[in-house]
Amino acid sequence: MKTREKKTFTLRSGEAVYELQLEKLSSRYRLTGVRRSKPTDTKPIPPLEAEIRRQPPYRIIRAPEGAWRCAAIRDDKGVWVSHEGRTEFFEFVKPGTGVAAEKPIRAESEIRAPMTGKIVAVRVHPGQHVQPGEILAVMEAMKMEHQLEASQPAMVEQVSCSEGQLVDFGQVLIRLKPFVTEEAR
Amino acid sequence: MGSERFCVGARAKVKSTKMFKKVLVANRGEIALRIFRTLKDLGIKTVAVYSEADANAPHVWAADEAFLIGAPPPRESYLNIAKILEAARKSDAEAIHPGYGFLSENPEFAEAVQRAGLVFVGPPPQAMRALGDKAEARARAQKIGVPVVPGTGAYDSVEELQAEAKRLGMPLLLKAAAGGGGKGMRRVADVSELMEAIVSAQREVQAAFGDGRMIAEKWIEPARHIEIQIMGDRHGNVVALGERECSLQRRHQKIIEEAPSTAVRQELRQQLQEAACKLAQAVHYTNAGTVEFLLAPDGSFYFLEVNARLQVEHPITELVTGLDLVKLQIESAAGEKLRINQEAITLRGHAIEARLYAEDPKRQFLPASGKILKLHWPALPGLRIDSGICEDQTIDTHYDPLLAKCIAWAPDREQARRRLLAGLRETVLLGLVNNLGHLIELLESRPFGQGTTFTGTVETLAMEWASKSEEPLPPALLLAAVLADEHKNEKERRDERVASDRSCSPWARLGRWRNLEQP
Repeated sequence: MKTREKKTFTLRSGEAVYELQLEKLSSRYRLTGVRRSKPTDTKPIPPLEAEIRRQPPYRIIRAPEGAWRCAAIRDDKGVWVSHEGRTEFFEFVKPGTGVAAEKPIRAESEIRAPMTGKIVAVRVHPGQHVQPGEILAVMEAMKMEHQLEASQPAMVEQVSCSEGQLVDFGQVLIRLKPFVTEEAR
Repeated sequence: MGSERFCVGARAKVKSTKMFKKVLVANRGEIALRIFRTLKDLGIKTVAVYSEADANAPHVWAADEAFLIGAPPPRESYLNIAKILEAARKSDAEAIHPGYGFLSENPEFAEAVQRAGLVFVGPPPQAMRALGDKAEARARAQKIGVPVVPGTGAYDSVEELQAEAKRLGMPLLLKAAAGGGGKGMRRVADVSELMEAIVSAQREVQAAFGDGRMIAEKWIEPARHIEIQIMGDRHGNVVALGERECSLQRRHQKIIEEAPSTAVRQELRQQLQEAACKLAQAVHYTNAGTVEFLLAPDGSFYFLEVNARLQVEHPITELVTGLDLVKLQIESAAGEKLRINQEAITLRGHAIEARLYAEDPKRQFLPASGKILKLHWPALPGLRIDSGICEDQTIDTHYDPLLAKCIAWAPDREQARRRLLAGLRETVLLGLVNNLGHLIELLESRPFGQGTTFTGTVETLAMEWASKSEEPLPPALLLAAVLADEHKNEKERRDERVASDRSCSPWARLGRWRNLEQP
């Protein structure tokens, strides 16, 4: 009798979380799982039973429904994978912690640096009220400017960057306190 | 490559001039590597310069010699004239090729190179001044009867430009008076946005070129961006090498270019070429240059500006003319006569270039940074890759996010498009966000397939695609993800190779000894 190896993976790409089970059959792999985009929206992934052939830099994945030539590599942050030029990045999450609902993204209460670069202008100060589309700060990277705008009515709670400062991708620059309307509740 | 037909055999007829023995390239990335390639073809020794951020960049190791010229910010390294000249002196280089961007269109640099007794591979400083400045170039074009887009003069003062721009009317386009590359370009649709746009654009321009003067031009829509490649020698000869269409742009920067244009017939080509050559001759232009035009739907064209340098998209011209533009540049700089005349230049087939950028098409093309973990280029007939990157290289935000160019040539446009698509689909670039998928989508799009591309096409398509729900991921991609190999850096890979070499030893292969004479 063959012993079956079964592994579980949780991957996150943007708002979507994939909970996957990988089974190693004698010469094939079987992948099943679900995709969760909201706590209520869970869709099964069409199960895939495929043979794998290594053909560096690709892995050929062959199944009755077709063949895909993919390339993938993982580092300490997650895994990059591409198929015919379409490239995706997945973050590895510990099983059970990755559901979008458990990590609520509060409606833009934090303005984070969308890229590594330099702050060239800060347009707001704590206590100031801002309207959607209002420019909060201006960043520069690779000689291009990028404006950070408010997406909703809010009050500026905290400004944690200053002009001329170099900031990293994802660094919190400004904290906003959105005005929550009754309907939105 | 089968499509390159270099002019050979003509050399003996030209009075031999002194060819350089060593040339320094004051640039980085793919263009430095591209220039080294031709220099090697010509038997000329190569010198690289690099910043602290680029110590492991491919261009440093591709040259015969390399000199560290300063800290990562361009101002302290790739824009540092004194350091670059010092490297040239130390290496005994006789000429400096500036590539594109950085100091390539800076007449002070060209003059400093000449003062140091070296040759600048590019147009003479006075021609650069006359044409490199957009306002002055416009005036000159008008004088010789080349139509220009209605616009303002160049202003340093925000108030003056604002007043002039208001008189011109909206919508309009703000531009840097000096320099190109889309830096400082802003489309302004409404007067209320004008002030903010000018201030922001000026800051960008000041940082990029050290010159804050701006101009405003009337916005023409729908328009195609058509440019003519010119090449001149020091003996008064100028030839035009056909057009390139570069209408597919984002942030006013080109991403896909092709030659010839689907909108240019021979008669129009001749008109554009004549206008370009006339302008070049009026300022005694030499070396490579590009004259940019806007083409309106009714076939009328307007002069935009001259790029007094080699351009990013020069390979498509090389593929349809069979000429090596860098070789022509070097020969022109060395004082040689052009070996080709206008009649001898024929366009053959079709070429398309796609620019691979470290940027996120899903987030307004923001520059991305990261480490290249896996890289594979296609090797297909008719495909040329001008790359500036390698595996394990870290791409940071100090410099332009252009990583590489993928260029396809074929006898006709549709075949070239398919070749380029096949090449891009085979390309593997993992480790940082890039626009590979976006390039594929653009090449597959209906406007590109039909050849009806305008300067607003990329934006229109983006809006169309945004409303479409995203296609679900093929489960195979997920399977590949969970089976992915661990990234190993170069050292780890080397260690592994050594270990596997050891296991190749016949002693290891023999396995456990067994005594055959066991009773």
